[in-house]
Amino acid sequence: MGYFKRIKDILTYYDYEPLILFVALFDIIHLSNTLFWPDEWNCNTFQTFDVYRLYDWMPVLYWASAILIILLINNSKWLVRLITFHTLQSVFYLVHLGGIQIIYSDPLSWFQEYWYTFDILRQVFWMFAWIWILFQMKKKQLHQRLGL
Amino acid sequence: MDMDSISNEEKTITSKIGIVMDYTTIITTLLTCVFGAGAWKFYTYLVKTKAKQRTETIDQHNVYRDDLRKRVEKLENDKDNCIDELSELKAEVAALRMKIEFLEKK
Repeated sequence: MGYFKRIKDILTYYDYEPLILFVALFDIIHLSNTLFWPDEWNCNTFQTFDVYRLYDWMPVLYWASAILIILLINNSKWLVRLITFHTLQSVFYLVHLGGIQIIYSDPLSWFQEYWYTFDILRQVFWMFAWIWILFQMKKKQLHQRLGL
Repeated sequence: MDMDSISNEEKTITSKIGIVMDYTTIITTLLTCVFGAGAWKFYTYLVKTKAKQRTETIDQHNVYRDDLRKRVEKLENDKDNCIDELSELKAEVAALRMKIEFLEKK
């Protein structure tokens, strides 16, 4: 019981700022690699970018907002807006991957199913992580405003 | 039906499915956001109500404390007056005792 109480205490009382810093740094490194690494035709994302494709914009916007999070980490007002955008994107990805793609796509093989499930679990994890961070930030602002 | 027309038809269907997928995703995300915002409003309302109740309780305690302070101040003043009066009475009693002793001796 002490183990679960400790987890509850961590989620309730510990601050989220170090988490934002490390996750944003990870996002910048990971997405820079994804965006700038050349593909099999020796082109990076920006060289094959289609401005009319929504899913070409998503990683670029995510990458840009991760950079802005690092730059504006001391500005709580803008940080909340950027985290809200990150949260919206994570919800968007999950909705796309979890519900919509499976409805409109052909049945998958077991191997594809495995990677699909893995991808969904990853998206669920990030969605809950960002929702938790956003909730904690908004809660802190609300409590400060009410003088609690 | 020739191959080109089938291919074009498939392309059109795929493109249409893509557009429907995008719109469905956007609408579902927006709906999720609306419900999320609603849940946040409800949470804010609960926290504000709790804070208001807490402030009211603190205000009541403060009113009671201020009332007690006033009463203590008033009683302290009364006590000072009583001590002064008592001192005067003691002085008078002492004077009268002296007078009585003097008269008795006489």
